[in-house]
Amino acid sequence: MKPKRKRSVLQSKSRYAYILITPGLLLISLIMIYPLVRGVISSFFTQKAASMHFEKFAGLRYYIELIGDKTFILSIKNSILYTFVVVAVQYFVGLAIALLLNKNFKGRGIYRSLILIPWVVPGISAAMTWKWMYDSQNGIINQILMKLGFITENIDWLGSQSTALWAVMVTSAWKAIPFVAIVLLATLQQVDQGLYEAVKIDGGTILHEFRYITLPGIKKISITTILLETIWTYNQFDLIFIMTKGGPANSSMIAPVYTYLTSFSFFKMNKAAAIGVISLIIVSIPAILYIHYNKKED
Amino acid sequence: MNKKRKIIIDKSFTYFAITVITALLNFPFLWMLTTSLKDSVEMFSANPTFLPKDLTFTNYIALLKEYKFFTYFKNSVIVSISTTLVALLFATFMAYGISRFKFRGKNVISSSLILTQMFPLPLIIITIYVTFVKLGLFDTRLGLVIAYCTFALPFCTMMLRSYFDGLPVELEEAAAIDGCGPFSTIFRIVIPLASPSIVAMGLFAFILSWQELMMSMTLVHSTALRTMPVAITMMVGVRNIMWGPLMAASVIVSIPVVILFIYFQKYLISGMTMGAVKG
Repeated sequence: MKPKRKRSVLQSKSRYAYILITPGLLLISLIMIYPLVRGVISSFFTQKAASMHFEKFAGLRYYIELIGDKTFILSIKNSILYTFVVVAVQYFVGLAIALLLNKNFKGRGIYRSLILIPWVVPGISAAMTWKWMYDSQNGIINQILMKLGFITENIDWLGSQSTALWAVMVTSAWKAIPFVAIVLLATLQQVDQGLYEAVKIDGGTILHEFRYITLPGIKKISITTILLETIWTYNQFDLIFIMTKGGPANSSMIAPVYTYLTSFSFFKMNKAAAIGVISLIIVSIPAILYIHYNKKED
Repeated sequence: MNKKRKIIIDKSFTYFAITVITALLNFPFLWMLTTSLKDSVEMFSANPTFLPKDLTFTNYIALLKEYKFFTYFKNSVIVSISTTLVALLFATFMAYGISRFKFRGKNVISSSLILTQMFPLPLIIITIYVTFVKLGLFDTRLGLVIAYCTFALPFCTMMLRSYFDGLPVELEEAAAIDGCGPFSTIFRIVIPLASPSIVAMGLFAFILSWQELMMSMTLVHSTALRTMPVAITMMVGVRNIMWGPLMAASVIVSIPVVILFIYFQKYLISGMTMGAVKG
């Protein structure tokens, strides 16, 4: 009798759970699960533009088409490069900021708030502002570099094939650095300060502190944050779409933008779905790692 | 003596480094703000100053008069607030259900909630588009609100769930023994108790919908229903970009978000750290 008594009154009424969960679950199934499943299926069928009905089974036709599509290959390469560079920069700059903010000094709270501004500013505003700063005629970046003598003539940062992707990477990293910094800072503040004292008493240096206390303390959160940022950065659409639309000459094309343009500018929805499926497969690697890692730690 | 000196050097380095980093991170936002307050002569000057020499609001006036920006602002407000309310309503019930009850499929549901946040949106939106055209939800505000639940609902549910997990169950049990059904328990006890987190999640949902571009651009076509991010994207012409009004518009989109952030900073920071830690 006793163990049964111990069960919460709430938990015994599991039928309520279904009543509470069903509306939300239904909505999520309709707007996420169904579109995902149908999206995957549609990559194997032909279909008239903007119609709900599949015409006939196409097998791997769209996937084979993609192998010969240079823009597609480039977009996947760019996406991987973009994600790797942006996440790496975000993490290391974010960590540096977190370590600085973890020191004890006056005005720390104000700095912490100010640091967050790039993360708070809406993507559309950030993209437009950077576009203006990168402007080839009157952009402030050219003007400053010119004054400092780094360049002798204006560079069209977003308009040349060699710089466009890198220019957007800077914006993307800038925007997400605060998130990494604040998440790491929150974790650093939970590290037992007594441990640092212990290292000092044992005659350890700052490097020892970092290697044996800071690093183990932030290892778990670093892995989850990097995995999340990898997924988010890979799926990012707004910045590239607004700043370059994948151009010039597809040089900054990334997979999400190419999927979107294939579907809504070139009206090849099934081919777009195939590109989306490839992205889904790529993103599922960090996604599975993330879920696996979270479960293990629980 | 030596030790004291070392501390001073260390402190000055910290201040110097953090000040430089903060200035660099904030420069674009401030540059957007000051550009929007400059006239076109100053904006395109070869020797730009950081602050405008003559403060002018012409860009903002042009935005209202020539670009009919008030309509877009109004549309964004309506859609974002509606999304927030709908998402919170569904999310509170769902999060509470997952947090408090044991039932079959609970783990599957929790995992899929996290997974939905990782779906490539362009893949999802293809089907949403054709389905909405079929159902008559294309080019309506209701359609946009429903579509925005794709990111707002799973996110709010996950976050609220981890918050509910941390709340003590005793009060709710007492209420249940006194004969409160689950719905009145939620309204009388859980919502008042959890209101700070619910507000924080609402803010997240609002901020996300407020700046959403891809869905709005795809699912709404008429000018009268256009939201601000789409309107701003469309201000960029083929050759001539009107940077003044464009920066003014960017400021207008940013201001509500920045104000909300400053005001509710504590909740938002705990929300974002919680999200990363717990998933």
